[in-house]
Amino acid sequence: MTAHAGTLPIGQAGDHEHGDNYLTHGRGIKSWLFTLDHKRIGIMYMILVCANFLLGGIFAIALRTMLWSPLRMFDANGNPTGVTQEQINASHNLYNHFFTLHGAVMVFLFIIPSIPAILGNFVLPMQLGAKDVAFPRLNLLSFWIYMIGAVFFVYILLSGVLHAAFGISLPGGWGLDTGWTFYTPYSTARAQGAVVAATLGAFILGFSSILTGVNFIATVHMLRPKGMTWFRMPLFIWAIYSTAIIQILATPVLAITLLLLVAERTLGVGIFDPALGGDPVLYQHFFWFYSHPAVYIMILPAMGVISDVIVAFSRKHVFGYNFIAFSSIAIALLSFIVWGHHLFVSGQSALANAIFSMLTFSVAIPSAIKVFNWISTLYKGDVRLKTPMLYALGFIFLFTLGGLTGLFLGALSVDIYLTDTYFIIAHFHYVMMGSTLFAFIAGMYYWWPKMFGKMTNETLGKIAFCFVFFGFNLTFFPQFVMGARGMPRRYASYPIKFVTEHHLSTTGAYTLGFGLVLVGIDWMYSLKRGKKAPENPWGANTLEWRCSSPPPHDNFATTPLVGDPYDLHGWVYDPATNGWVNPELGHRSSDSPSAPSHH
Amino acid sequence: MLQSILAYSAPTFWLPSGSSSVSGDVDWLYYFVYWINVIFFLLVAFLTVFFAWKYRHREGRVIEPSAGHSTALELTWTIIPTLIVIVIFYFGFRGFLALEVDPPNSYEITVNAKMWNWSFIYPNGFVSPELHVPADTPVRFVLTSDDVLHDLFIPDWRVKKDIVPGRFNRMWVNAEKVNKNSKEPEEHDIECAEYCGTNHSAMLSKAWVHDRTEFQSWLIDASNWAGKHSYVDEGAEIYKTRGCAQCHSVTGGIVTGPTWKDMFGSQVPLSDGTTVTADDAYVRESVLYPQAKIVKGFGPVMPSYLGTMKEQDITALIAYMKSISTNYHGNELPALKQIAPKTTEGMKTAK
Repeated sequence: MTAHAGTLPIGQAGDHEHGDNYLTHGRGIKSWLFTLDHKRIGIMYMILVCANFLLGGIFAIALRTMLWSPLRMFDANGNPTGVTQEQINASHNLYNHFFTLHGAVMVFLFIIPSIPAILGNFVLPMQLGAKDVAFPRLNLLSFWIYMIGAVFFVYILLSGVLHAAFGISLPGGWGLDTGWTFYTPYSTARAQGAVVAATLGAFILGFSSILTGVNFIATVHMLRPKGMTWFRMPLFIWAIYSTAIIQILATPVLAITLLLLVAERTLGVGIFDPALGGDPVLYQHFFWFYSHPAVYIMILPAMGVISDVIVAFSRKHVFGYNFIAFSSIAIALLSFIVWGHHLFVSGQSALANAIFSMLTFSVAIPSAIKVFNWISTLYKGDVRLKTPMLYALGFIFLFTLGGLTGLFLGALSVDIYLTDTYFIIAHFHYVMMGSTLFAFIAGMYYWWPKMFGKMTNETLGKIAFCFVFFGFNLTFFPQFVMGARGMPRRYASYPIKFVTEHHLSTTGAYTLGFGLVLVGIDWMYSLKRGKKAPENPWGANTLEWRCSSPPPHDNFATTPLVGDPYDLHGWVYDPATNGWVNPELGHRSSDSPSAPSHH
Repeated sequence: MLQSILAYSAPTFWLPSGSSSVSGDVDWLYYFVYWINVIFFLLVAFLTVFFAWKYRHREGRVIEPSAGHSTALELTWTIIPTLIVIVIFYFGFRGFLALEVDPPNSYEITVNAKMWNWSFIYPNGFVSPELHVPADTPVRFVLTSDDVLHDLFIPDWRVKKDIVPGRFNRMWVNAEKVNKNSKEPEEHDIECAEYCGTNHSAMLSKAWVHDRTEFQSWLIDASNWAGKHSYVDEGAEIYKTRGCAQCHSVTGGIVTGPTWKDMFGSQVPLSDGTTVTADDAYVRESVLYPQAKIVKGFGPVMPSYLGTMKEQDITALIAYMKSISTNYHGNELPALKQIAPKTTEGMKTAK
């Protein structure tokens, strides 16, 4: 049951009239780059986004390695260590470039497009029983724009490497050391790096995000099949829909802000730099007006994935569908009015601080609702701990801890102490990385059989999960501790009293990195040697599982029948195909060979 | 009321010792939220693990039906978190007001931040690279930046505020001594908490808490320090304390700016292709108007000291530069042999 090495995996086409699937439908690089098929576009996003994740990960490992011990000119007893001021400066400079590129690549090139662009593209039209998104050409355009945006970051990287290795300076500066936030006036008046390239890159990537959002909103409105009312939509679609609203409303603000920044840096137009008559705090308002909603662009799709995965592996209807759906919309709307909590120490008025603190706490409520509803879905279920489910349960742990530690930061007086320390770093990595990355991996494992027609190896998947989960907590939990003890963020060097926490954190980063490599190996191995995937390997009732794995080019010959997406009654496990069949839908089980197909 | 919350707290697992009038309140709320965190995390973790284990798939297990939703239950876990966050908000806001509103009779110290050093300017005009405050006295800081964003963070006092160029942010503190019986000043860390470029993590200083009377005498002694020392010593002190050392080495190494070793009296190549002799006028101009002449190979990044460095300080700096330059000879008497022929020659010509 294995494909020959070097050939594309071919899924089953048994009960389908098509002889081919979307992977074999058209050959050659052009048939991919100019495809209008949402599934192929999703796969291309997957390759690029995962490559960028690898890049961001390499920077993370590099900066954690630098933080293993602080570089100092004098030891604890005041004796010279032989390290010169020049070496210190060079080391600080390198670290600043590392943390900036780690953040910028992870935010703009990985987390924001990860779930919406990869899984959203692949799964959303099929969950609607549709043949494609509403605007397939626009969809291809967003992918191309993503590639163009990514080129700018490649340029920054290249300029940094050329400068460091050969002393060659490309036009526009080299590297980037402003932090991913590009705070003014450092970014406009002082930084030597390729700030213009970076901001233009982020500007262009924003358009990719906007166009994807427009497309998904139109798709959800226009292409829902007969019978799929709003409250019969899978929760993944609710999540992607809420995300799309934020993408189209917030991203233009970032685009304008970044253009203003470029205007100030290149033309000297005074907007943010007080030396030119501007106001740096204005920049922070503009920036976070996008970037706080962007946090929910990162986490909402993750919540959608988790809802679908938990249902499939609990073998039970989701608990409190309406509360989960409405909490997605509530989070999307509230996300627009909490940006000021990033400015509690900036000197904004006490009244503004009070209002933003209050609004910030209001986001905690829908988040808490979702967690309790997921847990209740497990209650009296028939829980199967497959790899996607392990990541989903891991998500609940990490998201809960990430969310709860947000309570420290919403509380004004405590936030003043904790902000700009490692406590913040730990908090948002628990939410951004722990939660979103875990959901992304859960979703990838969950839909992998549908994407490639191959099962992944459960044993390797579970071993990898253990490394990822343990490594993640070992990396970031000590950062809560050192943050509360007063270790500021973005520090290339640090007082020696924090060395134990940094040792633990760096050890964790290596463990996490190793676990993620195992995940990658598991996926690659599945492409080569994975068992053939059945049509519905997990017994889920959403529509994407009603076509073969991998799906044919146009998904469904006829629009499938729509019911409650989380009503799992009727699905029974069929050991012969290793998948689930539903006799009510006319599926043949292996022991009832005469049942007719309704497809 | 102020006295009732003035209490030094010993370090705990999570927090360093707190020694200001607000630290007790901040720490109390930290631990209040901490225990809410612990309880809810354990609840969620326990339920997740317990349900995943108890209801795990087993052959032949009969699945009981269960409700698809429960409005009562869902309202419960909407309302309880709502009440909890209202309580946290209230205490957070109350604590914030105490942090924000400085008493009107506060003693005022101006803080000047620049890449990458601190200057603390006392009411009598004395400038110190470290912060000294009297104990049990409200002290207001007026925060100014010469270049980019910085942030004054003193963890032991639980205070932090961004320093924004073009704005005058304020922060205040009422520090207290741990050991009230000792006359020795007590030391705390100062850190820059807003990213400000290459040496952000080296933008550190110390805060010292003195008894009130000791503070007065410290300020008088410190202000008069320069008058009791030579210009060279004073210049060396200014070099170390006013931020020169961050960018200029005195050992010959190249950092952000040119080294001062052997600089004075040398011919300095400039970025516009000309050269200039590093004399007194050149140094003074470079301190006050650093962009006027940029040394070849360096960026125009030095902040101006116009208005913040006194003429006497510049004179002292020049004296210090002269003392470390082999290109300057004005501090040694010329050998007689060299004088003699010149004089003779001159006399000859005159004849």
